[in-house]
Amino acid sequence: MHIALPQGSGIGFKPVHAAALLAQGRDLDFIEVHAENLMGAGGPVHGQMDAVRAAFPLSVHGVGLSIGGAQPLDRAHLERLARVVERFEPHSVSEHLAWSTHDGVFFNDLLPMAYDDATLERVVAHVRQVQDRLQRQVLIENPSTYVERAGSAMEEVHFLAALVARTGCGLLLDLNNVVVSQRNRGASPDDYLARFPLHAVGEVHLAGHAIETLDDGAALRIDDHGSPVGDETWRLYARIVARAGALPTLVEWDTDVPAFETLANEARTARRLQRQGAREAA
Amino acid sequence: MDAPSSPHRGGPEIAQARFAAALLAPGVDARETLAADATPRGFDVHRNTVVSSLVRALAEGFPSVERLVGDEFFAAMAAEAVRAAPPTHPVLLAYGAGFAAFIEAFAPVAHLPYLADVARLDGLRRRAWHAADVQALDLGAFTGAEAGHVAARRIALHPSVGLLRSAHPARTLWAAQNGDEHPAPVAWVAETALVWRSGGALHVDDVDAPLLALLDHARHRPTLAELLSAYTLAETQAKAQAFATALRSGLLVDAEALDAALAHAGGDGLFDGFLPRFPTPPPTPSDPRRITR
Repeated sequence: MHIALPQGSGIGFKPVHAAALLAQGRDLDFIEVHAENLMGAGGPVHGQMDAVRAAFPLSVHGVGLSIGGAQPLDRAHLERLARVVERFEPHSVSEHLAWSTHDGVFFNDLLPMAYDDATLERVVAHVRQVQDRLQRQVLIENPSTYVERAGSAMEEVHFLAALVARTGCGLLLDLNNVVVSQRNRGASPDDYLARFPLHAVGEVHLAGHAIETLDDGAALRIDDHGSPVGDETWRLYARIVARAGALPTLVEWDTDVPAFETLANEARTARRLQRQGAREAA
Repeated sequence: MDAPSSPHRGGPEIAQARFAAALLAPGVDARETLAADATPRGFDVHRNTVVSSLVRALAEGFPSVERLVGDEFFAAMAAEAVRAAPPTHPVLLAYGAGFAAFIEAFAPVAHLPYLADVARLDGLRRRAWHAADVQALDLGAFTGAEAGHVAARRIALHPSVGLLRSAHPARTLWAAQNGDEHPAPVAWVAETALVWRSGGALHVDDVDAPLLALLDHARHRPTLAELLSAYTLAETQAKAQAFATALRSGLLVDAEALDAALAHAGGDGLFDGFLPRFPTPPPTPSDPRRITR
């Protein structure tokens, strides 16, 4: 039996924050760690995560399975993930709607897919394979995109809804990715969210992004997780809370990592918005 | 449940292959895989992220090399290494198996012949850091056991133990980059460096001939009796001292405990492409010409 993440909010684990997290972060509701960082054989990294795991519910977030890949899943990597899940018994396991490996080369980036029927069939098979191996539901995260692929024949929200219906997977709704992707394609994040299958969401991600001005004066949003959560993302979050209640919410900050308290306070802001939402709904 | 394998690649796979190729080769155009109204800068973001994030992974894995050549030079060198040998699996804590060999062949650093060995030392440290957890051999645990039983226990090296045999003073140069000591002006001699993890700490130290011989024997998993057997008094004394050092430093483990830990741990194959853990000595002593080259 696997229990879901608790309501409330958490932060992504940074080794540099380990001591402060255990000393001053006990009010946080859960901690998320990248699965690949736990795939060594052992050592202090595992010891540190044992201590975190003893104090907090854990979310294991994979970044390397390449679920959107055009080729079969890397079985060795799925086995590594299974071992991490067995070893650390997380409350939640999540991955991305993206690809990162082709012909045995790992690109360390979440790369965009074409949304069509053939791709859906493949991703359905991959998600089923992962859930069968792990014997549990996984959450799949909506990507941030800078460039759309030729041949896309369906909306991302419909692709995700079909994936949920076909595999029973849950979704990880990354609101920063929604802002980045929809603004980059000149579309409205609110419209996207109005059609998002919120019933399947098991976790929300919040983060900051950078804005680059292109030669033609247009803005390109880049998902760098290197700044506080943006105003538009907070606004969308308040609306999601009003619609769907207090979903487990994580703040990510991976570039120019700030002091522990700065990151923890972002998570505390998310929790305050959850409580406000609950009061307004009452 | 893999997709059925087919000798003919489908359209999506061809498009993904094209997109993938363009990520690492600036000359390859990915336009046909993108939507008609896509901004070219959008693809460039991916191109930049791929290379810069992997350069960062190499910098994290080889901090002493970065300090020896400087951030800017390192980034340029690592970008070439990334394009020449991108990762073959998603576990970046073990990325960079070929980096030392790349450095050895990289003409712009031909005047730094020790740089590749410093990279190897960084690699051994990273492997030691992530090696499986096994309790060090503790003879106290055998107290009260029958002597024959103790003598028959098989002994092995702790999985974190690694050895670098360098024709250069790689250990001293490494230490100077890591603030571990205030090295005397470098004596330009060949050096051997032993790397291991004990408790939660990494160690890099020199190693004398008797300890080296003992460790070399231990990697073949001798019984305790075999490990300590000797013919002369001098040999017995040297072995006993080396054994005491190895025990105190946590270099040895019980082979059965090691096998149990490895079966449980996984991850142990990730560093297979790096330097052999315990290279055999070169056939001849270090050649002074290599040092002054």
